[in-house]
Amino acid sequence: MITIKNLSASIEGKKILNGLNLEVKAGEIHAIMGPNGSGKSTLASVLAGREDYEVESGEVLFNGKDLLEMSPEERAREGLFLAFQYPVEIPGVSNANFLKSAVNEIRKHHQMPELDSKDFLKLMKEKMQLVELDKSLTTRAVNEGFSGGEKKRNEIFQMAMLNPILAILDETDSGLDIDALRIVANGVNKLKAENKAFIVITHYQRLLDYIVPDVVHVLNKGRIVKTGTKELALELEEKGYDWLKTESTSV
Amino acid sequence: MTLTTQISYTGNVIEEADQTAMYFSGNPFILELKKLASVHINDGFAHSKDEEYKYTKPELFNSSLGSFGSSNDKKQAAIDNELLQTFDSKIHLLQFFNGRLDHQASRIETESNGVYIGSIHGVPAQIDIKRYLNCTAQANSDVYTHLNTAMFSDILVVYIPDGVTLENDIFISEHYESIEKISTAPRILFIAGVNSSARVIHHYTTSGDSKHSSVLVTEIFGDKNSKIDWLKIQEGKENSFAMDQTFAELKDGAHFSIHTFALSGTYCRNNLIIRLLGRDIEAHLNGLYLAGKNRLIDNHTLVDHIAPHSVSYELYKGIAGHNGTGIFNGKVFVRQAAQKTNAFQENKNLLLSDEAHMYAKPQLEIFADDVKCSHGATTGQLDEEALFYLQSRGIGFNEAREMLMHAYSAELINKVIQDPIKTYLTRKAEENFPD
Repeated sequence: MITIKNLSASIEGKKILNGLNLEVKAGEIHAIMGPNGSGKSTLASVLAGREDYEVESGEVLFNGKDLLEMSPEERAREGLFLAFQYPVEIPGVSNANFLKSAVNEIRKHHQMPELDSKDFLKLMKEKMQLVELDKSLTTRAVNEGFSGGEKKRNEIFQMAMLNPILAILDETDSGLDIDALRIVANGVNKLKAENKAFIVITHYQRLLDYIVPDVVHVLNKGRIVKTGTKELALELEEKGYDWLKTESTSV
Repeated sequence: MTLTTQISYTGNVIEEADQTAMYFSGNPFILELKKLASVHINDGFAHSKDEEYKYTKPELFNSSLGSFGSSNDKKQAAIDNELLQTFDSKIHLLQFFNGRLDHQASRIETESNGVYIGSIHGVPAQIDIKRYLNCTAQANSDVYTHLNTAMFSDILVVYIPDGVTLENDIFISEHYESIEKISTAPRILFIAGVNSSARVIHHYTTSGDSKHSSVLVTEIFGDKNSKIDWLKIQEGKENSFAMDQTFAELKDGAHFSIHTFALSGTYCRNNLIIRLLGRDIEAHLNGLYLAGKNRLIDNHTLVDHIAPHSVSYELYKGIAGHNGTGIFNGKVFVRQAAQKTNAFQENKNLLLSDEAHMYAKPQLEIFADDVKCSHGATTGQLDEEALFYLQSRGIGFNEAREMLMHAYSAELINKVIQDPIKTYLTRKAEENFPD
């Protein structure tokens, strides 16, 4: 699905990713954990195509195509989705209109006919239930005045609507209470499929009780320093990251 | 462009003013107004050194001035006015072509007794024109107002007697087809009586490749408890130059809204002056201005609170892109007697390119001590976070930009009452969003 080779990236001259390697196959859920400043969100941003970051070296193949060559919208149309850590409020743009444009852009890209209003509404209704999103939120401006939990649920709702093949969840659990966390995780689990993959970035093991990963990676100083099974997450919860930091510097 | 051209031109102005006087040979009042106006013009037109025209490059406008009235006699082909076609209800339609009212293309629906909508040349004697004409203009002397007074050959008069609610909207279409370098001086006098109510749509369009300039003056009088909604849509083509002066005088309890959509045209200066003479007046000033390629659009507004207990709300939003120039100057005066005034002004601007210019100047002068006034002026770029967010969902960069500009403009378009016009404005705004 996605192969990241020796990826290095910086922002404003500061190197954040430092020769990162990662491979995620279809059907898998990978969790990426790590201390503050280890590069987790940078990885998500670079993959989604945020311009603030400069890729210094390395390559990323997404379904065999050079991801780093693509514009952010091309990446999305090819099936990549980023659930933002801080979803953006866009006053004046209604959630429904925005999503209709997005869905149809992606459909056009795959030579599928555009959805008319009726079919779109039907799809929206179905996916809203998935994340227990209140109907009124779809007619409101994108994320405007949404609570923290509503914003995160809206991210998962958008994911469900756009039906990506690779979804990156950037600390989607941060700021969520336990009920919202369960709803978000349920949403993700229902979207799980053979041909889809997830990269779940999180600080805490808690989310992984609900979204069970196939592989857990620990990121430190811009590279993956340890890879394991879901038990690794439990170990981290217990021991913290310090033992890995020492381990990685001694390597 | 230079001062010399202006002065030599002023000579012709006097001659031409004399020519327009022939339309009013039996009307000593108007002849006198015209004579006085000609004297004022003798002092010359505005130039960049005038504080009021600092960024407006009035020389560009002055050099666009051509002969007044010379092409007025050309018969028009049917005007293809898209906006007009959006109406399915009845309207009072006044079609002006190159400054002259086209009677055949216009129609006035039946209204209550005493309503008059038409040319000054047919105005009933009981309407006391002298009480109104040019009195607001005199209070706010500007050389282009005088130029209009010297040059108008007709006046559109709207008179709504006390207690009358106009059933149909008034649609004033002013279309200019420039065959050669011509200028026009349209004049509107709008009088709304006590407890009356009316809505007006004033649509300005041009066609043709030659330079065309308009010096427009609109005077609006809102008597006690009158309710007026005035919508101005300015859609000049390339080579259209407009100097648009709008004055409103409001009395106790009047409710006045004016929306100005400056969507296209090479040069457009809007002077909007509202005087709140009484108590419990509510005035709304809304403006959207789009300054794209080779375009200058200037909004100078003045809200003058003269009496206590009135309120004004002003919202102007601009977008400047390419090499366009946008200007907002918003004066709010709260006179000493105008205690308990609430005056709010907000001006927001988007600057989309390195070559574009935006000048914003809020100007509050408050002489009363018990008032609530606020103002804010911001100029910024499109929100990059929002752009990236939209792109990350598969929406292309240009579409994402457009979406954000739509959202930005919608705040003003949504204040328009007539639904079909909202749709029209949304589409036209999109066509004119600057790069």
